[in-house]
Amino acid sequence: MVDQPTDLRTVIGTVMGEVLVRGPLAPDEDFFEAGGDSLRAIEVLQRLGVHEEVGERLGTTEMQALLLEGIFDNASPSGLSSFVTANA
Amino acid sequence: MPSGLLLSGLRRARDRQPERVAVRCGTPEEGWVETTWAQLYDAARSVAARSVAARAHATGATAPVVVVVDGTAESIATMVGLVAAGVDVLLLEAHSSYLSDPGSPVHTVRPRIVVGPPGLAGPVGAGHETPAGVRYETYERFRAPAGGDPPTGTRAGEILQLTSGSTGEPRITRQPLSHVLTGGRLYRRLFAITERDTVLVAVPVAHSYGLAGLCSALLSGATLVTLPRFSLRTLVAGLYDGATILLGTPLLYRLLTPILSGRGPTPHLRTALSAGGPMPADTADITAALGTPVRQIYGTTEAGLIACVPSATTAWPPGSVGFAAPGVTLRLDGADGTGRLSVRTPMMFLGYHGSDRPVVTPDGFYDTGDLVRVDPDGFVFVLGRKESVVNVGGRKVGPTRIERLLLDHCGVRDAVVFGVERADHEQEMHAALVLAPGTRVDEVLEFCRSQLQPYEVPHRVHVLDRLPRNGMGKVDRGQLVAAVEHGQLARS
Repeated sequence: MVDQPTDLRTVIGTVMGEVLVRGPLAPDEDFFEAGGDSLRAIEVLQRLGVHEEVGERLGTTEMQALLLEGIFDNASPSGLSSFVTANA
Repeated sequence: MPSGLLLSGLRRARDRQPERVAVRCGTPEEGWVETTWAQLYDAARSVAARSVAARAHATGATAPVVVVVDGTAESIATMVGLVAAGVDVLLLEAHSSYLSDPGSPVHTVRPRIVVGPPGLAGPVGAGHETPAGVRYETYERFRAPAGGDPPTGTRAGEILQLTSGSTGEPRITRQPLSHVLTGGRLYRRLFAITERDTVLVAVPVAHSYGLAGLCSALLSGATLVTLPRFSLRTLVAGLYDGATILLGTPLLYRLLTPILSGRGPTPHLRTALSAGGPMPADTADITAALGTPVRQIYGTTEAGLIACVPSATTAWPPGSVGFAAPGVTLRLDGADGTGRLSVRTPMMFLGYHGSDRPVVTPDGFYDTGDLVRVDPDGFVFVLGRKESVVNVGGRKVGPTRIERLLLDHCGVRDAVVFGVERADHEQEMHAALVLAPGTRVDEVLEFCRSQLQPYEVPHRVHVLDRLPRNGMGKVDRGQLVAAVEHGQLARS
C-alpha cells in the first residue's frame, strides 16, 4: 500500500476515543459500534478541524462537508483516514 | 371499525400499480432494496393470515406482539399484517435498548412474541422461547405458507408506541389504527401527496412522526424511501434520485446544508418537513441548499399532529410551526395568546397501557405541558417543551430511565441527567454523578454503552461530591444547567 496515512489514522482514533471518553479506537474499530451517535460524530469532525497537527488540512469548509458525508459510511479510523486521502 | 383498512389500502395500490416500487430501503450492505406493491401486499397478507390462524387456536386475550419496525419492507408488512388481523402491535425502533432492559415498559405488556430482523434473538435463536417465555421471530419466519386468506371482519389492532416520559419512566401510548391512519391522511392532504410522489422518511418509522409519513405514503400509493441505518451519503443519494418530500429533523437539515450547498439544489424535492425540535432562527442557508423552505411540524405521540405549515402556505413567520391542523382545537391557559397548551385532535390516544386514568378532560382536551404562543393570524410558536426531556437530535430521552440505569452501576451513588444546549443549538445529555471512591467515569460510560443506544448515553459527565437538592430532596436541574453554561463544572 502506497502512502498509508498512519499518522492521520492515529489522530482520528485518538480523537474518537476522547469524544467517547475512553482510550483511542483501534484502526478498524467502528466509531458507531463503539458508542458514537450523530452528535458525537459532529464533535469528532469539529475536533479534527481544530487539531494542532491535522486541523489546517481538515478544517476547511469543503473538507468538513466531505468528512460529514463520509463519516457515517467510513466510521473507523483507517476508513475515515483512507477516505480523506482518496478525496484530498 | 373494519380491520383491513391499511391492508386494503395496500391492495388497492397493488391493483393499480403492482410492479411499481412501494418501498425503497437504503442499506449499507446491499444498496437500495426495492419492494413492489404486489410484494408488499402479499407479505402483509401472509402475516395477517398467519396471525388469524394462530389466534383461532389461542384461548383468552392475546398479548400485544412487539415488532421492531426498522423501515425495511419486511418490518412494515409485519406491522400492517398484524394490525389487520386484530393483533395489538408495540412498535420498537431498530436496536432499541428497551428489550434488554427488564425495567422498561416493554415488559409490562408481557409480550409473548417479538418479531424483528435476523440476529435479534441472539443466542436463543429464532423460534425458541427464552426463560422468560418470550419467543423471538424473524420477519421471514412470521408468515403463513403461500396463499393464506386475508382476514375479514375482525377489529383492527391497536398501535402501541413508547413515549419518553417527562417526569418519570417512559410509558406506552395506545392508539386505535383509525387514528394513526387519520394522521397519515392529514399528511397526504396537507402536503398534497399523490402516487407520483416519493416520500423520504429519514427518521425512525417506529415513532409517531415517521409513522405518519409512512402511512401517508402507503395511503397515497407514493413510493416510501427509508434508511434503516442512517447514512448521510445514502440520504443525499435518495434526495438527488427523485425524493419529492423529505421528513427530517433540525439536526438532519443542519447536517445536509453544507453538503447540498456544494452541489446545488435537489431536482425534485418540493416539500421539506421538520419535527422533533425547534429549527434555528436563521434558515436562509438551509432554504438555499434545499431549494425549498423547511416546514415545521408540531405534534406529540399522545395527541398526534397538532400544527404544521401545509404545502399550500407560501409565507409564514420565521420560527412558527404553522397553524392548527384540520380538526385540531387549541386551548391556552394564559391571556394574550400565550400559555400552556391543551389540544383536542382527531388522532388522540386512548390512554397509557396498564393505566385506567383519564388522559383528557371531559371535553376531550389533552395537556401537552408545552408553552406556546398563538399570534392573531393563528400561527403557533412553541416557546418551551416539557422541561426535563433531553432532545438528542430530535430523539426524546427521559432522564429518569437513564438515571435508574446509571444507579445500577455499583460505583454510582447518586445521579441526575439533564440536557444542555451546545453552541450549535443541539442539545447534549449531561450526567452529574456522585461516585464511590475508585470508580472512573470511563467505566461508568462503558457500562451505559453496554445497555443503551449511543444517543441514550450521556455525552458529558460531571463528578460532584454531592448533588444540589432542594428542601424536598429534589435535584435542582436548573442550577446544574446554569453551572455548566457558566463553565463552573469540570467535564469529562
